[in-house]
Amino acid sequence: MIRIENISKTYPGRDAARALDSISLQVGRGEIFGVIGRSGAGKSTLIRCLNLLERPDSGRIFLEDEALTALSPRQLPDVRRRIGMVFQHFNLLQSKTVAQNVAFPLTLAGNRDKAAVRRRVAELLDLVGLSALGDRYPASLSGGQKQRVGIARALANKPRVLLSDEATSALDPQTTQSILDLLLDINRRLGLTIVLITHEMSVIRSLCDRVAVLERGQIVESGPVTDVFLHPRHAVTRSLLAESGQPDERELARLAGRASGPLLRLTFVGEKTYAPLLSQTSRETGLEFNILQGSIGRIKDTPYGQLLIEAVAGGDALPALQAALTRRNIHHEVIA
Amino acid sequence: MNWSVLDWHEIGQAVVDTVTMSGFSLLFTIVLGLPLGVAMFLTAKGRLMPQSGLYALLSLVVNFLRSVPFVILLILMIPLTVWLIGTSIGVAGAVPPLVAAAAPFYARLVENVLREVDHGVVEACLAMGARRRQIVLFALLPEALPGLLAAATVTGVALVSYSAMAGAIGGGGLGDLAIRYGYQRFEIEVMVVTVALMVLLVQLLQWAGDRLVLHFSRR
Repeated sequence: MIRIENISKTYPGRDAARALDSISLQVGRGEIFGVIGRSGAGKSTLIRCLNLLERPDSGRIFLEDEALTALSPRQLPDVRRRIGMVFQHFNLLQSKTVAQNVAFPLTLAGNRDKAAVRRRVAELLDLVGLSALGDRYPASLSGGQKQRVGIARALANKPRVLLSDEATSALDPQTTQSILDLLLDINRRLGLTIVLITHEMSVIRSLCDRVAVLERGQIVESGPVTDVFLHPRHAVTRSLLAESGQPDERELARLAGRASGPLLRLTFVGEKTYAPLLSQTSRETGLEFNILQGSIGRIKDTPYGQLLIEAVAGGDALPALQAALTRRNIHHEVIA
Repeated sequence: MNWSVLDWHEIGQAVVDTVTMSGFSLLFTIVLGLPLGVAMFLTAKGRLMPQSGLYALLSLVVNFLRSVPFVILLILMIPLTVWLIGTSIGVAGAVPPLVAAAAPFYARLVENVLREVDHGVVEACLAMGARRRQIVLFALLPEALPGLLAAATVTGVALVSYSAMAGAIGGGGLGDLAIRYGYQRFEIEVMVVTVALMVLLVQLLQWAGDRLVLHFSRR
């Protein structure tokens, strides 16, 4: 659906560091792709390159095999109508009502049929749950309602892709969840491809299929969310995860120092999460386990569990334990 | 004071002249100043059509006209005024110099009002595939409407007081009356009444402007 090949961007005047440094990635049809990174990592520049609000210095961007980077400024408006975008600060027109805001992209595209526009607006407001508020002005809406208007507006021209630039970062946690639910619902109902950027791991976890971690303009890690989330390889990913409650290196070292037996991290994904595998292993090996830390939950729709356990035994019991875990297909890492 | 010396008929005519002068001047000021202000906004650095050379030129013209004292501008403009409308005196003769003074002033205000529009809105329009003309007509100007009206009110008030000065070279209106009767003939009563009427006129204008701004404000 979207293919980015080697794009780079440097802002003039700023220090030598590149905003984007040879980024390549692909987003599949119907997929929700997340880009996470700290502020200043370049994620905003990256998403703004996708509809050429920023033009990369080099590299190419394709939307459905059409090279956007080869288009002239005159051709841009047409292709941008196929790409919806929602913003952190909503960017609604204050002088227009909710319905007029949603109708705005339709009129820009040259829709003269007023009845058709009205029908489409009603349809969109219904989709985002704002049917009753069409005549209100944005100033009288809550943040969550404003973002719903933003989403309805972005969908007006039936785009192929929706870009979300920190769409929930200005909202409280409860409203954030309702907006994320709405995005997921739209993705499923319309089969719409979504590319989002965020600095919150929780957004990635509840919404995305795949994720790329951006740091200093480079992708340091990418893959399916379950992989990146459960087996982070890069320090930046780990520290982003630590902020959302996963134990970081220091915490692990502290636990390892206290443990008397082998320390292992077990990871369960899918249905295994709900099977009594640990107690079965315990019975089979005759070992007792001490759960030091753990989380069980869901990544988007996939149940997962990750436990840090200490086997109450000497180091010589380790091979038998590992064999038992392998037999049960439990992913395990020996920490100490 | 002897109020019986007042010629109410003449005062009434002066009010009509002042309103006509300021009204037509305001109209042409907006007709010329609004596009000029929009052009300055668009060509400024980092905006929709950055053209630093053109911006510098427009800015220079605006600053020049704004810095020439109005009395001097009145005199400098005489040949142009005569060429434009055939005379440099009377109500009609006052309009060109008034516009020449007020249009750059209004243009600068317009530029500032447009800068106050959230840049995110422009960006959202670009992302929706809006062309520049559409952004200006359907987003920037409507978003800035309350500010544009407030700026027009300020300009209108300035025009009322400038029009009094235009009376100095035979423009007619309340200022003319105040100078000829009140100042040169020491008829204090005329002075008091004309000044009071000017104050009233300005108050009315400001009140109407505020009402309009409020009507179009959606915040």
